Amino acid sequence: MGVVQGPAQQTRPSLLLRDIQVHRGRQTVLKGLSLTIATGAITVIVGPSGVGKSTLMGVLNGLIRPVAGEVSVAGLGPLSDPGVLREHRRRTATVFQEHALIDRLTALDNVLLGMADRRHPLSPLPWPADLQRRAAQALLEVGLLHRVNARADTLSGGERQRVGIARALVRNPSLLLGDEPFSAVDPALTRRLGDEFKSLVSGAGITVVLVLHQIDIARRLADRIVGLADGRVAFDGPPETFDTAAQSRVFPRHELQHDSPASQSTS
Amino acid sequence: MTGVITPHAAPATATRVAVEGVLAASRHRHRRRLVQTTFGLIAVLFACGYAGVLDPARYADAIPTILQLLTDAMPPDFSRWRDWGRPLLETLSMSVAGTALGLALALPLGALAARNIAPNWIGSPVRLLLNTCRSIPTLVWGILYVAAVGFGPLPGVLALASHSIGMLGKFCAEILEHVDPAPGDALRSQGVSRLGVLRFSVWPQILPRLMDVAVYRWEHNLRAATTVGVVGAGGLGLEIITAFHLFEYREALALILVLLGLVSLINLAGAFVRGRLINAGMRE
Repeated sequence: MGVVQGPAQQTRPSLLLRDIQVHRGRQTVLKGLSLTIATGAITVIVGPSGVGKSTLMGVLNGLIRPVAGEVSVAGLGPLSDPGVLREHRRRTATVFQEHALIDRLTALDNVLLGMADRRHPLSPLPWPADLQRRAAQALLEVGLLHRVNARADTLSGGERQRVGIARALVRNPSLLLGDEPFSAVDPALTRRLGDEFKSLVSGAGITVVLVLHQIDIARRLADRIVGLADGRVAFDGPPETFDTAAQSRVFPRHELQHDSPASQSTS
Repeated sequence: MTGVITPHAAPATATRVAVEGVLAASRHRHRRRLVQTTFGLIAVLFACGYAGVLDPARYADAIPTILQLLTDAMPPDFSRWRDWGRPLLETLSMSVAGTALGLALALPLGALAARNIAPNWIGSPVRLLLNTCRSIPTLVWGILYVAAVGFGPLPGVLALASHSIGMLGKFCAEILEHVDPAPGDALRSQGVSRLGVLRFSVWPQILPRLMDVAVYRWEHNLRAATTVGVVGAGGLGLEIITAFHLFEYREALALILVLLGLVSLINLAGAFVRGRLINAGMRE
């Protein structure tokens, strides 16, 4: 880790995307996107708003079915196969941009939903004690144990986001997807959670794909940066090579005023 | 972008024209509201006249008669209170059973009526059915069921349920239409089945609101249970109407007071339960 990685072909692939096309309404969001996600690494997706970063995350966790192209999971097969999709989802966890919590449930109950596939839907029994303990542990890791019994709609934006992160981490996923997981979290905690993700990757060897809009965090966390522009991959390489020229390819000029990635690019 | 007016660049005349336009639109709205109010008032006056509300002759004997009735009913006669336990319990159980039965049937029907669940060719007839249930008064349902299953609380239960299905089903559909799909999507993304999404995302989202309308409906049904008693469905209503028929106004008043107390008690309990459902956290 930490060493400049070679081209993506040399690392073990986890997910292969080939010529992915996705329509949203009448608009084509992804226009023949091809990408390989490396196993045991943090891939960070960047790009201007509306370019299809969240759509790409939806393709990766199978919530969005591309109209053309193929997603295949290494060692399993194409995601269009129901059996592959089921197994892929079992080992995947997603942190959603809008948190996707149930407002009326407590923080703990929301985190427990991350393990809903381990409890029978018709079971009249309460959540098993070991699952409850794991959920509390996950809340402790994101620094929210003191809010364990607070209803989700009484939490602040940053707290809700951390519940969303805990709900994903509690699954012990081998693929962790995060759509702007730190957008509402303060810088110190972002650093800590980022380190946690890094240690998960180096320790447990899991694969992480994050959508991030803060370029400095992206450069610090990423083993590899993928820049999207106009529904395709415009940049794909280690963070060291994501220089000003590469950034201006991903972020067209008018975007620079808003997201100012260029101002943070000097390293 | 073309057509964007920045405040500095806009000529003074253009600004004046824009402001005049706003004022003209406001005047137009005001005029229209005046016309609407006038038409509304005319309609209300016509309705009152047609229904005899404006005929003073009809009121001549009203106040003395009401006063006479009230005097005849004073003081309320509670002497037969030992006999009221059964009808009281009958009315209470009618309201509980009718609400529960209505809710049990309203859930699946409401799901079929929800626009985000069932296609329109199923939803439309189901919504029509719910409207029909709602528009037939409980009393008419009561007469129908008394004829069908005989006297007693059972036809009352069926009548209350039939009318409740209409309202509860409509509310069920609306509650289901307002379920946030995001937590369900999150569950699907981690491989949870359809049934699991229903149980772990939809159910906790709808349960408090469902209980809220059920308790509200229960309060309503307690009052309605008295009215269906009048057509032979037993309970407190039957006692009241019998007392009236026997000119036992003092006992009728006592029974009405008992009913009032019961309804107030249930309303208080209902408000307490609903307050807890809305404010307190849900723990499984």
